[in-house]
Amino acid sequence: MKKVLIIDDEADLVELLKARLEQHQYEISTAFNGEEGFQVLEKVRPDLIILDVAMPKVDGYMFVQQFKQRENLQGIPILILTAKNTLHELFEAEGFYDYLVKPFEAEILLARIEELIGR
Amino acid sequence: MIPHFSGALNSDEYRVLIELSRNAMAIFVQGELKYANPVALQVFAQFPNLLEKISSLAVPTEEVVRLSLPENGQNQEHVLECQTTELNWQGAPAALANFHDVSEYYQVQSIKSEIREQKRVDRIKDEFVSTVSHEIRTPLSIIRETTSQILDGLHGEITSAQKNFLSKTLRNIDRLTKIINDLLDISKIESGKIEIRREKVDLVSLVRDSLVQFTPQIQKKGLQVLNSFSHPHIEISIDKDKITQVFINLLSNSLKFTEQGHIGVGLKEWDNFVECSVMDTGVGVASEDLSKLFNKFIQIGRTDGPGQKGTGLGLAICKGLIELHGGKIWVQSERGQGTQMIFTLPKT
Ligand SMILES: Nc1ncnc2c1ncn2[C@@H]1O[C@H](COP(=O)(O)OP(=O)(O)O)[C@@H](O)[C@H]1O
Ligand SMILES: [Mg+2]
Repeated sequence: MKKVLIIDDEADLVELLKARLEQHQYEISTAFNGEEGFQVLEKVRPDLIILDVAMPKVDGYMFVQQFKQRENLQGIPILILTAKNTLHELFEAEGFYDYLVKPFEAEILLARIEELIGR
Repeated sequence: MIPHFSGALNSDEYRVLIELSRNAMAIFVQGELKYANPVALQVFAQFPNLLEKISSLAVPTEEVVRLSLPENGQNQEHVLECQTTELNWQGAPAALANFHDVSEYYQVQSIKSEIREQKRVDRIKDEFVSTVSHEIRTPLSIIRETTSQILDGLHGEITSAQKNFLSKTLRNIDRLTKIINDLLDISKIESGKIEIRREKVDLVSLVRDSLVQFTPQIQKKGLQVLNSFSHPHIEISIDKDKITQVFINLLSNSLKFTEQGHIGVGLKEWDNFVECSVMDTGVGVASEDLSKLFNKFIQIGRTDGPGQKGTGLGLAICKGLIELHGGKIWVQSERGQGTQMIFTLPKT
């Protein structure tokens, strides 16, 4: 089973994403901010990270910056899933191009995940 | 360095100085005008109420007094600053009034404060836009995904009646999302906050890709698609997402207002620009409405029936995006005769 780590501070949305992805045979780990995300990454190596941007403590932007410094995490694709549609350039400048704006359509989200994981 | 002059001026020289001075000077003894230099006389003629006002001020105060006065024969108010100084005039205590018109200075000041105010409003608007974009889209995404999961049967089977009503919910969530997106777009366009990121694009493929999402609707209505491209590929440097948005807006209008016949896209490559058009054989637009079409919140025939509700922002957004590319958009249409939206995109 392919593993997906969801990092988002909206508990309701995390629960929904988990239900949707589990139905499509993904194994899900969750974290409610970037800091917790790194804690999960100590134990699990996911095939994909779904990352929110506006979060307390370590937000999505800080997360990708720290992520880049970690040798062992390289190669894990990140799909940025955010309500802000004005941040493409910011993330592109950091080398992250996969961006989906909330509200999203489940079919599109699933297609993007498959594409990124190469399943 | 303070310059130093030798020799005192004689009275003729003083007279010349006073008479050529650009500063208006008038001397009052007990409120009665005793002398006014030429500029002061001019100013008194320009503002009929001034003499009276100044003579009542002419008790020396040393304070700067501001007077607002209408100009003779004009309805514009001017601002004059006046300062009175004590002196002795022909043996009697008197007041020397110095005054000048400072309206221009005030105009500049008020323009400056308008600009400051405009910047403040822009900042509030930006904050508002980003708040709306985040704070509304997040709960909206939760509502949408919840509805969509129930509809997809993820949490148990549902009846066809439940499905029917949940589909309505979903459609209206998407409608709300569209409204929010349109409002944010128009607000960004208006505040000049939108940036064009040009890249080399084949316009023919862009049009084909834009049409794909309309295939189900086109088939459902039984419409034909008639495209005409002057070349199999048309390379141009544009912001791909923004021009796609333009075609999608125009195509969705054509579909919305066309029940039979055809819709189509035309691309014609000229030396320096590409002429693009989106045409249909739909209801058309009455000539008296043509000029209003590109304004915000304009919806004509809103009462025509169900299924035609929009925001009236689509064309205003198209116009903004095309103008950002240095192009122009216009419309040719007649009531009942179909519509053709035409726009140009400069090649560089
Ligand atoms: N292809 C078309 N045929 C007929 N009327 C049109 C067409 N395109 C636009 N209009 C008219 O222009 C109005 C404004 O269009 P638009 O700005 O896209 O807003 P909306 O689609 O949200 O109503 C429409 O409500 C309609 O009256
Ligand atoms: Mg429209």
